[in-house]
Amino acid sequence: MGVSVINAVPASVHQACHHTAGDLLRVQDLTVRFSERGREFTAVDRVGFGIAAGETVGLLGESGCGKTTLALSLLRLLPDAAHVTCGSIVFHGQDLFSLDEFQLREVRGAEMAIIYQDSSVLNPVMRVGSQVSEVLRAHRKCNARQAREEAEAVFAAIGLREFDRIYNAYPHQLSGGQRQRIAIAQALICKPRLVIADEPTASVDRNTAFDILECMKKLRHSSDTSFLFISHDPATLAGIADRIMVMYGGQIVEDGPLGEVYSQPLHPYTDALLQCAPQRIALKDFDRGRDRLPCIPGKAPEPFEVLPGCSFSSRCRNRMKICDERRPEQVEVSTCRSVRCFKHEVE
Amino acid sequence: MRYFGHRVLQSIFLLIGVSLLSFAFVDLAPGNFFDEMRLNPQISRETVANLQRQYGMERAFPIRYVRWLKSVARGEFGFSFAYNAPVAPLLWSRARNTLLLTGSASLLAWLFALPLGILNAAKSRGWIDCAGGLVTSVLLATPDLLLALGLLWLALRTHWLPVGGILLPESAGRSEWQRLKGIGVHSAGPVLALVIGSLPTLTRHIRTAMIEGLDSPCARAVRAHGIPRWRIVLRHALPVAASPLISLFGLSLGSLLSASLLTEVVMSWPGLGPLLFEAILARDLYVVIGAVMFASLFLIGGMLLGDVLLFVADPRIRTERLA
Amino acid sequence: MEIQGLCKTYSQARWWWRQSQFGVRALQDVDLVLKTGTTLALVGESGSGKTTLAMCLVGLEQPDAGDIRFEGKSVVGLGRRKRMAALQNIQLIFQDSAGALNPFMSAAEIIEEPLRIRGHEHKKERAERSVEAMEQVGLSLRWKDRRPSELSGGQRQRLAIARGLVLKPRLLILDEAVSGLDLSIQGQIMNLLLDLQAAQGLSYLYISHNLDVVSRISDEVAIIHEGRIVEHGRPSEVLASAQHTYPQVPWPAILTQKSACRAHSGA
Repeated sequence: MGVSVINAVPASVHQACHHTAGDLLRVQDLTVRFSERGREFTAVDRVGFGIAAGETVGLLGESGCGKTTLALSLLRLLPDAAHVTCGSIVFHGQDLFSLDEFQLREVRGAEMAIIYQDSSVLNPVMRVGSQVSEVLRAHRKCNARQAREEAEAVFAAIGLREFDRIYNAYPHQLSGGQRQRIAIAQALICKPRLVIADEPTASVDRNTAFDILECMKKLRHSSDTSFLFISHDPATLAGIADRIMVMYGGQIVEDGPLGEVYSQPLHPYTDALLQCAPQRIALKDFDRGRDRLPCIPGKAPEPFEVLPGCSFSSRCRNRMKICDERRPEQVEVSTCRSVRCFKHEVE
Repeated sequence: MRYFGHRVLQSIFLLIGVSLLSFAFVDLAPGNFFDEMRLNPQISRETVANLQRQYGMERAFPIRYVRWLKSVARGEFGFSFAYNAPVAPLLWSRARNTLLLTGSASLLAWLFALPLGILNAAKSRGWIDCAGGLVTSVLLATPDLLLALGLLWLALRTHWLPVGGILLPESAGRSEWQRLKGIGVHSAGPVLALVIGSLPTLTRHIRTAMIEGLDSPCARAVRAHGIPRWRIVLRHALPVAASPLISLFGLSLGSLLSASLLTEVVMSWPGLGPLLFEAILARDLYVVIGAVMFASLFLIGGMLLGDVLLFVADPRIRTERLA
Repeated sequence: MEIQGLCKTYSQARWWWRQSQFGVRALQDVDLVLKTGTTLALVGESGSGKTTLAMCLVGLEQPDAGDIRFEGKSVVGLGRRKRMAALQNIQLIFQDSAGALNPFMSAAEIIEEPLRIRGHEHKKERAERSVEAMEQVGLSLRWKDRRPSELSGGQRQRLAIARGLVLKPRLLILDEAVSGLDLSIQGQIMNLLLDLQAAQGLSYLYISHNLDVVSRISDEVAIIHEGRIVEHGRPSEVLASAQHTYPQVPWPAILTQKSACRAHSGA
């Protein structure tokens, strides 16, 4: 299963600012292709980025942009139909593609953990407490009692009260918010260095989502764990990420600190997306009558459609001739900011 | 407990329904026990008519049914014309043997099928799975009758297994242990036939259920936590697969029972099979109905057992929603 | 449409021959008025009773008490056939269109299905009407023969709307119709709905948990909480007073600053 580092295309990616050896995770030129029914398409296209220890990076993108595929490829958990054609992932000094299944198992859960979007991945016939402690016991030698104590500490950290009842409960006896927190507990119990949260608030209602985000913010500050927070909603990431990466069509189109990207988005897609997010309008605006909602016309490209130019060009407001001819490369605009757009390449 | 109350109530209704239907069907079949006698020119018409009246065969269907029900209540289960005795004691001794056979065959079949099925699923598309698939295909294609006959032939040729019967002829004076040993040895043949006959279906179903269990979202998601594979198979995939398998258990009892009736006839095991066979040929009405009722009772008992297992295995049925 | 004093209680029966004393009061004394050609937004948390209300309005559930009058005629207490006829002009569009669309039928068949059920028309006319509906919702005709699983989320939602429009209803009930979609597509679908309303004079009852989105597109807003209507009025009024009854997740300040700048610069 190990894939050696193949550089099919010479990497012309200018490395973003964290290109020191101190990076916890460094991904370079990662390309993942799916073969389905005889056809192939690229889900992740030459993605490169780095995450430092203790940093929280938000990955913003809509459905179909490849963010979940990216997350799964970091853990080497891709389905059989997918294969990595080039790129490298170096995590804590180890090249993940050189590890075999046993070594990977040690990494997963203990060093790098994932919180899934859908908390229904909890085993319905196993008590929630055993599901959390089995993750710990798979990586560390401890007995049931010690595991339970660790679980108690984690539950307290994420705000799950009534430890005894919840530890012995089955998933269907808990509310959606509690189940999601159990998924978080499973990810955190081994104190991994990197936690990938794949839209953890997508399947719960708004107030619960708010609570979960608050608890994740607290966790960020209290520990050295790095987070890769994936979401399609800019508001969710706004409170929690240090840095934002915007993904579209399998590529990272913009990368930079949260404040700068949100207040001055460079890529047209980021700009348009931020405008679409529902906002609290000043009350005086209501007197204008009903409004049309902002949106991005057209739709995301089909996975099998391979366009010669930029994948966003058909929907872009600042479309130029060159956008349909060539694909833009990632360009570093300033320290820590890069964008993949001809508008900024020309400058 | 409410859960079982419902199930038991349903089972009683089911039994009543089965009795009614089997009574009706046997009755619908043309002819009755006395037809043979009628063919005999030495027995006069009046004798036959008298006998028929004596046994109440002249009455209408509902009246006969009610009389039979009363007899059930008394514990007799009707009256056998051929044996000239109440049906219940006849059935009971035979039913015990059938139960022994079917019970042990079920147990052994599942005992072997479970690990085989799990192994095949865990190593799916490997050589173990392919070999297993081949063997099960061959066995599936072989009719149960052929299997039984084949084993019989083997027994006759090699004298490894006793042929027919349940006890050694000299066992009258022997100890209890010897008797049991004798029974065990005699049952090996029929049990083997039944096990080999049902193993392929069970293994395949278990394999499919396990593959689905391994493919289920929770089993796939838990890989991300670094859990070792054997634990994923046993603790995460198997419980998900358990639900359909437990339903399969109830059904497998049914098919095993029908297979066993046939096997008993072929291998001369003194169970319900030969009794039922003779009674059908002789039109011994109440024996047939009694045997069918016993078989249904066994089947329903098995399905109730399956429900108990499901209750134990699936906490969602056990506990109410608390959130 | 007028709704007066609507009540609905779901009881949890323990034994099948005995009603239990436990009940979930889904709706309590709900009064609402929806005028023709307008949009009424019904906002509430999950479990507040808004879906129950939608089901009562289309006849999938029968209320325990109260009255629903549609175009002047009461629809409560009618026999099934009369109710179906009266409610023909009300259509319901769900949130999870993937679940609401039959995965084995092609897009065209899905749109034609309501016509077939009502026994209206011949095959050719049905095909014409379904093409018309697809054009109205902006669904390209080349998806006519595809299954819902081959369509994207936004396209599926358009398909669901097309199916709702094919019987030419007067009132559309949208139960969280855009909640699961990407942000960029949400705007597209909402704008489509606004256009359709202007073109065909439809009335909408828009049910959502997102006060921000609905207040931009509705004429009136009602907030429902635990089965009772706690606020009702124009969007500006309700937004102001809803701070206490329906607290919203605050929009991060950094974005409001930016949008204010943008509004000034007119970009």
